[in-house]
Amino acid sequence: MIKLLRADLSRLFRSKTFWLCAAAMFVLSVVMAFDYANYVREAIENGYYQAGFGEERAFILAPVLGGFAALFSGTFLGTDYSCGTIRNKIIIGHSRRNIYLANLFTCFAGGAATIVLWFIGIIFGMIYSGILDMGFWDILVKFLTALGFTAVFCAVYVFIGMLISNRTVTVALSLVIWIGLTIAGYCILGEFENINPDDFVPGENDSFMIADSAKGKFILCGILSKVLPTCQMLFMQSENSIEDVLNNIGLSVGFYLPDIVVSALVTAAITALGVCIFRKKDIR
Amino acid sequence: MDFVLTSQGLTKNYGKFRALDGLSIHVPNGSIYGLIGRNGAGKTTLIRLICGLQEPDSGEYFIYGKRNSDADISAIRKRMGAVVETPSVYLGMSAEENLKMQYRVLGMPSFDGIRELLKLVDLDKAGRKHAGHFSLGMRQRLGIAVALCGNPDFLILDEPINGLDPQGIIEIRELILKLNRERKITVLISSHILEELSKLATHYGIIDSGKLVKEISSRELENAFRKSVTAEVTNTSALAETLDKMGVEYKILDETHAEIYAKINVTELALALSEKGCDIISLHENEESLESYFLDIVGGDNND
Repeated sequence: MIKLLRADLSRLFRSKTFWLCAAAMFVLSVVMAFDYANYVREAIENGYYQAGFGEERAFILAPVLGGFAALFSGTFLGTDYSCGTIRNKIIIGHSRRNIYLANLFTCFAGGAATIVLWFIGIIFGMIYSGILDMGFWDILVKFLTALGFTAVFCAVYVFIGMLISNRTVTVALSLVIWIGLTIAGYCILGEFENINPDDFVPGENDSFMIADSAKGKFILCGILSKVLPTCQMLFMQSENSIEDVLNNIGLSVGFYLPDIVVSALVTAAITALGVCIFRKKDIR
Repeated sequence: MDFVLTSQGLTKNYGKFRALDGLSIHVPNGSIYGLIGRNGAGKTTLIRLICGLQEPDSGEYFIYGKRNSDADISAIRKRMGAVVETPSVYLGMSAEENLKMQYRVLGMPSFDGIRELLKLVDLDKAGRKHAGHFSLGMRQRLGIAVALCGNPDFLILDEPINGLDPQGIIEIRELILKLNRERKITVLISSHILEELSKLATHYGIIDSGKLVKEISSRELENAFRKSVTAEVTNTSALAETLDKMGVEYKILDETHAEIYAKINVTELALALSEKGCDIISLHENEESLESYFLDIVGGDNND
């Protein structure tokens, strides 16, 4: 496994697609850092700044991560099939499970490197604006959440890449899934932001509660918000967690499950399924 | 005999199509084993199974005595190298980078030996040129070099000369002979270019419709070839009479030609025919080719 990982990492880090994606993420993050800094300065000058202001702008690039990961993971994984080099690994006795896991760790390492570059831009923006409301732990939680949803994305892309033997189809399908999940994420978030008045009933002390008939829909949206990497990405831009949102509409959640734990479970489930299928796959 | 690879009753189906049908094979250690069969006979499927790229539906195979279902077959696979169908090389990397990548996959402690490998396959002057810009022959040689990383003692080559020009074919042939003679590598080579295979192989396996219909060594094959002489004479009736007296098998082809299936004493035959007023115009010695032997075994009428 270590041997495969070493070989795969050395191949990823000499991949032009990976470096283009990482460089694009870095440039975008610096641009967004300046935008954030100007936005905060303007708020201070006009006297409407308050703690946490503009944080959604700082993390606005979160949805882009999945797209970059789709590009470099799809290219990286597809090359092994298009060049036939995956055969070299099997012929000399590497197990299919190890080949699969090495690819997952490699794609995740690429994603993590991209996140680091992105966070460098965010921190630069915060320092440049002179506003560092977010504490170290807040930034760390955001960073871990980003690692978590990137792991889920990588698990999905490796699943596709290892089961489809065509590089173009792998890249295209990965991008389509990223776009689809992003749209699904916005739609789910929209359900919470624009709640239909018919879904509310009067509660105690002049408050409003979600009607029983709509509870099922919002519980499902809540679960999907936790499980889908794109929902995690979108919530990353907000101060509230999905648990807070559910509590606000009267769907009390008795516990808080960190996003990274959910991401780890989803990643493990997708990977377990992928390894099982890949073991039986005929390689040509 | 010591065998590198044996199999028993290997079967593989692709949907309703049976690609391998209870195939059994025996590849002797140190041999160059030519796997002969027309397109679709099952050669590549057999190679894919042996390489672990696909699983048989039934049957088993043994590599150096290890059963394919044994947990430690992976360790034995490290003694193998293979080029299946197309050379498995990264097209965006140079020859040297490709070998370095395979060294990493193998977990080799250093890159020592890469220069030697490149020299062996005559790619030491390829420089930084990417494999994507190589000729087919160069790519094929690079594929073999990748397969040779880790010093395997069993090399599997699937149609290695397909699409190569005459010069490329000679280079690959010389390389295979060199590997077998100098490095004592057992080679299993599949091809449907029989003339080329006959210049290399020490053993043959003839595969047809997913079954191994014949295994034979090159020496046995030589003895099995029927040798014949085509005689052109002025009177085939006189020739037939004479050959009958000599107890020799023959076949009259037309009024002046006959095929004689034996080694004959030309002087004796000429004298006997002269007594009957028949002249010998020409004698031509024929030797059966691997191709005609293959067609005899698998049935030429089905061959397309």
